[in-house]
Amino acid sequence: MLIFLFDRGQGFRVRKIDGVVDFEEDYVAELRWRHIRGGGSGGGGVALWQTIKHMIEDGCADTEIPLPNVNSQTLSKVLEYCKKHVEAAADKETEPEDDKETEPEDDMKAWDTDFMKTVADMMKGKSPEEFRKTFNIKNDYTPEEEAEVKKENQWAFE
Amino acid sequence: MRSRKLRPNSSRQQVRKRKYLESPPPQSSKRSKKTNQSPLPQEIIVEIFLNLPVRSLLRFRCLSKFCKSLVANPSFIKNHLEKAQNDPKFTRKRVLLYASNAQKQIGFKSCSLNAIYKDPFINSVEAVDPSTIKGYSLNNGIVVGSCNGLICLHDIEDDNFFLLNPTLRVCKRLPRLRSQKRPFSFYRVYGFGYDASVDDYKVVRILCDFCSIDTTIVWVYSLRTNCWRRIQGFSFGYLSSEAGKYVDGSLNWMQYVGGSSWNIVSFDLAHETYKEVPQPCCGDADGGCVKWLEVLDGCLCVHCSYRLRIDVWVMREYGNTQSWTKLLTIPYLSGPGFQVFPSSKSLSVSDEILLHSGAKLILYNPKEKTLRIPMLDEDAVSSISRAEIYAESLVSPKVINHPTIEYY
Repeated sequence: MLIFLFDRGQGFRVRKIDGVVDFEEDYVAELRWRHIRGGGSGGGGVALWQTIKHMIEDGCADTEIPLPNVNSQTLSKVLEYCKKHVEAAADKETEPEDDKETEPEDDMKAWDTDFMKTVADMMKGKSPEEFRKTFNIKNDYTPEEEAEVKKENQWAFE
Repeated sequence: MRSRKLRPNSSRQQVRKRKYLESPPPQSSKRSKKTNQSPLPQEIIVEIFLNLPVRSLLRFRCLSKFCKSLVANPSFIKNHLEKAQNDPKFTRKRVLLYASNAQKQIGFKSCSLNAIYKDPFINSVEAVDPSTIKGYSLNNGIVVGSCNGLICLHDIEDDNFFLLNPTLRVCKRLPRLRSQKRPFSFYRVYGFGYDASVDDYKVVRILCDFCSIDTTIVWVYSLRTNCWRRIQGFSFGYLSSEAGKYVDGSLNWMQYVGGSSWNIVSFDLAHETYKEVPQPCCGDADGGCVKWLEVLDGCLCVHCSYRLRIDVWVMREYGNTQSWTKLLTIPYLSGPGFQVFPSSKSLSVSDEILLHSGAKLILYNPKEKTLRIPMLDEDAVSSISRAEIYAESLVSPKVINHPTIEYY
């Protein structure tokens, strides 16, 4: 599974988390980061986007692509996402301080909101173990503590 | 885009080494491994959590200590609630039904508002009775009101109040208000709402006297202090016995002032003051009408019931007379086994308005002028005596928030 992060300073970064995409439906959790604007690394993002795009166009996607169990459809969604952010960043670079600036900004916001909904919808039926694996969340409970917390809302697990 | 199955992840180890992700610079190979294992940034977890339903959140409390504290954080709870309230598809809103089943046993149930609008057959009706949650029994329950996911119930027989969050399955019985015996001419009126100025939930109980408009005895319960307190009464007229409608920090009642005139009186929960709210100019055609209050989409509404129809007026901006607008007109249509009665309550509105009429829920489409019935499981819900909309929320009647701590 890949998580795309857009960081100030480091630009466009891919974080790969292994061994998780085992669920029936294919998905990738792709997360934006709002800091993209302000970071001067739109170019790097485009390059990465193109790399992935080429991989799909070359037809590598069925065997070679380092995205286990992700289908092209999901990936295209990710790419759409990357592209949107990268373009927004590029727009910003070419036309700094413009009156129309707010419009794409709002557009991006709406897109991001929608996007987070999609990610949440993917996760809402999952078990905590699946969630933890997917997002690589560190469990800082002792087993006893965890059991205790689970017990408080046992019905939510049924 | 071509769609194809990728190879199973058995060969993931090998796949990971392929050329496309060789890009991280060599010196960072150690770091990139570390990155792989570093946890997801907290702000991303917050974003995801804000979009999750309550049940999932309760399950994900056990992910980590941060997740547990997030789900209990007042400002997270507030933002999460806002999302539930503002969703145009009502995916996080539900209808509370006080209904009897096929065996004539009455109890509180709930089903998704989104499903009522969307699904041809709604089979996921949950029991949310205080008795199943806490072993409290309600002999003759009424719904006083619903606010921020909390529902205030009153048992008329035992005179007990309950605050219930059906989504969290948490129920609190309020301390009893010992009241003196009153003459038969007294009747009780209730209301439940939220006082944002001190982040408190309040239940209002008013004793009115049929024989005298000057005698009102008003008690207010505050969740924060967990006690009842008597406050200044008022003397404008006779309150209708319908529970107060909560809008924008105030409770609103219809009030009979003699002849055929009614006023709207509002009680400000923060300042504990009364005032009159201007009414819509709905005219008095067709020889007068019967009026009552409703809340739709967070706005105060007046239903004017005439001989052949109900006009629904909505006050788009609370307190602003100019903002009264006639939203729609509902004719008394009927269909096989159901009918729009003059006393229909309205619950929710989008393209269709959801009505509680008789013992049924009915959806009326004002554009097409058509009625339809959301098909509820007849075994579980055969006759509905009360219905109320509530949002799925993490607001607990058992937790008193302290001044807000930001979660990130």
